[in-house]
Amino acid sequence: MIKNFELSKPTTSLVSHEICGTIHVVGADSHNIEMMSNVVSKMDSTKTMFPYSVKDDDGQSVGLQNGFFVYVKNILTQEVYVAKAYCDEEVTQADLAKFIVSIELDLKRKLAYNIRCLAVNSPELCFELLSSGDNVKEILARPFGKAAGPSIFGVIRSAFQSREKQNDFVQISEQVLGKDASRHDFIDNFVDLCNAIYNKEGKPDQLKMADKIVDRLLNEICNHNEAKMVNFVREHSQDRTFFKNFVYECLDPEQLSSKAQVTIYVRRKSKEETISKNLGHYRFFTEKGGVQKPLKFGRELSNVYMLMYLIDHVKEPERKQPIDLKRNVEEFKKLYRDLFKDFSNDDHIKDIVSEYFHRKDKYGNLRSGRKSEYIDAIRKTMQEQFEEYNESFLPYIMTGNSHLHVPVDKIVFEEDAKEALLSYNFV
Amino acid sequence: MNDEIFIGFLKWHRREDANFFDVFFHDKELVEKEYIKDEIAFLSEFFGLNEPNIDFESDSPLEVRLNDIQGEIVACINCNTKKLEECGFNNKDAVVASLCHEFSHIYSHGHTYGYCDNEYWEAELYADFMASAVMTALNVAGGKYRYLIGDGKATLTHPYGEYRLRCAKTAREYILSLPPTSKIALEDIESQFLLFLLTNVKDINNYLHDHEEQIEHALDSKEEVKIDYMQYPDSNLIKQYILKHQQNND
Repeated sequence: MIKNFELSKPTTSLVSHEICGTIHVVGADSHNIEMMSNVVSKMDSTKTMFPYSVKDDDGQSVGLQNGFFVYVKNILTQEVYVAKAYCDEEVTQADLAKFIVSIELDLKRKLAYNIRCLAVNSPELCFELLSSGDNVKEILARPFGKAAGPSIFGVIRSAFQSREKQNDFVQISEQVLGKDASRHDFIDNFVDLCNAIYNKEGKPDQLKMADKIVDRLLNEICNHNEAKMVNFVREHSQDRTFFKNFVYECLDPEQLSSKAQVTIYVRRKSKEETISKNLGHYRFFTEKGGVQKPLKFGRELSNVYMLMYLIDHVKEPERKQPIDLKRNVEEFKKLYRDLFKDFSNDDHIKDIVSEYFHRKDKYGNLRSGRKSEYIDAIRKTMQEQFEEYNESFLPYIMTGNSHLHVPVDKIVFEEDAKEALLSYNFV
Repeated sequence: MNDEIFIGFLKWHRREDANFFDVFFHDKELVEKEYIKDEIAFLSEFFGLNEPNIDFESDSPLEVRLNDIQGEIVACINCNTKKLEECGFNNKDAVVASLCHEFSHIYSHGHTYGYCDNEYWEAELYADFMASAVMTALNVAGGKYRYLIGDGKATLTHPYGEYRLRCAKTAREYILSLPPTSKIALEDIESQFLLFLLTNVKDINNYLHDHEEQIEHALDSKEEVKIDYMQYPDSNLIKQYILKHQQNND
């Protein structure tokens, strides 16, 4: 079984391109080698990047006892890599299959990244390359499979119409995001975004609007004010969800959390206050620079949900995964009862919990639950309020696949509520 | 040999290697919703997945839907026990087998490797392979399941039955070739699937291209025709079989 796989630059520069695709098998007997040659001969070479072949090797040149190595090249950049797989016991045909698929997936990801960068830095060259008749185009036209990542080659339209815009973009994204991996992700998303905008071909008004959006986004990215960006997108874009996701994806809440200045307070309602329909017996506040504002989410369950995350974040600040409600139904019910003092019967809460996961439409068909609605309500309220503070709200919200990122000292449970709230344990 | 054990052995054998009659007339069991729920809970744990939602009032016999909710994949299994039974998944083992198939889809998140020209086919073959291997490992009889998948025609979403059957059999053979005490990892099964895929993809793609037109219209021409066997002469074997079965039930 393959224990370790790596694709790296070879240490020697004397690798001939002709040997690319010859898989060197280390630690297999002659019968096994024959079986592997049989596997390779049965493969469809039009579906793989190279016509593979198998060869016996002692593995000394790369320091292998059991495993495979092969030289491969990136067809776009012509860079040569060596792919190595270490096995803890004698290699099998299944290991060979896994090795080949791993190489191809890694190369495809590299290729996709190269093309995206090329599309950003030099669209003309990218167009030229993809419209050329050579084997690059042929290989790129092959289905890559979902395992290689999201759609890759639909990006090339006139994503950037002028050289100035391209330069601006590269410069700004470097300033804001540095040159690390997050910038790469950003570039990936940005080109897809532009593609989505410019795909609306033949409608000059929309293209004009798209131009404005790109300009505005570039400016806003420079100022790093995602609240304004989201607002702008919400007002103007034709495809809100896409823009919203884009903005959330390209900004890292963990980084932003170091700059967080707003504190969230949770306390029990005082005797003078009435029981709120949505907030029950608790109250949320946000505070920055001595200014306090009440925080109230539009949906009853959003308040319970937020409180659940706040408690869990205070107790387990290192947890990155969202809370799985299915495993915490009992604690959730307890918290709900505590908030709303609803001890009448269990049915109401049962309905709430089941609707969280799925519910039925008017035709009786099953549709997705209300989870996204609860999260959206939290996001909307936070966004509006944090805009007034001119602060980033992203560290303060959870998403479908992430927990809160706010520093723990920015969450305060007041004395009257602390003991009760910290008694909850979510797993 | 004790009669009960012998009958049990015959039953097991028939389930492992089933024909048309075994599938539709023998070894029928009532599969209750509670049983399906329990199996779903067990398989969720086995595959290391969150327990999917279940809807028992679906129009289709059994299917899984993967919804992307705020970046989190949430699976929902739609099941109609009556229709499932009509399709031949009429005992506990067959139902568990089909659940294994759906869980394999959830496990892979619908990801494919891009070697097969029709991505749906690749995903189905993956699920057949995984399901068959898991069933064998769990000692679940897969005769009905294999008969049913092997009997299907090629459509845009499902490959030709012969390939599915070949895939399921390869997976079974792989598990049976392992020493009985060895631990089976899902990753290893995936590697075996890749081997199957790479060595069979040429055939599968050729079939796809040769029958493209036929496959595209496969679903259009699929009309359910009920055959009234009673109109056939008494010498008809199926008619005889049905009559005998009815008599036994009475």
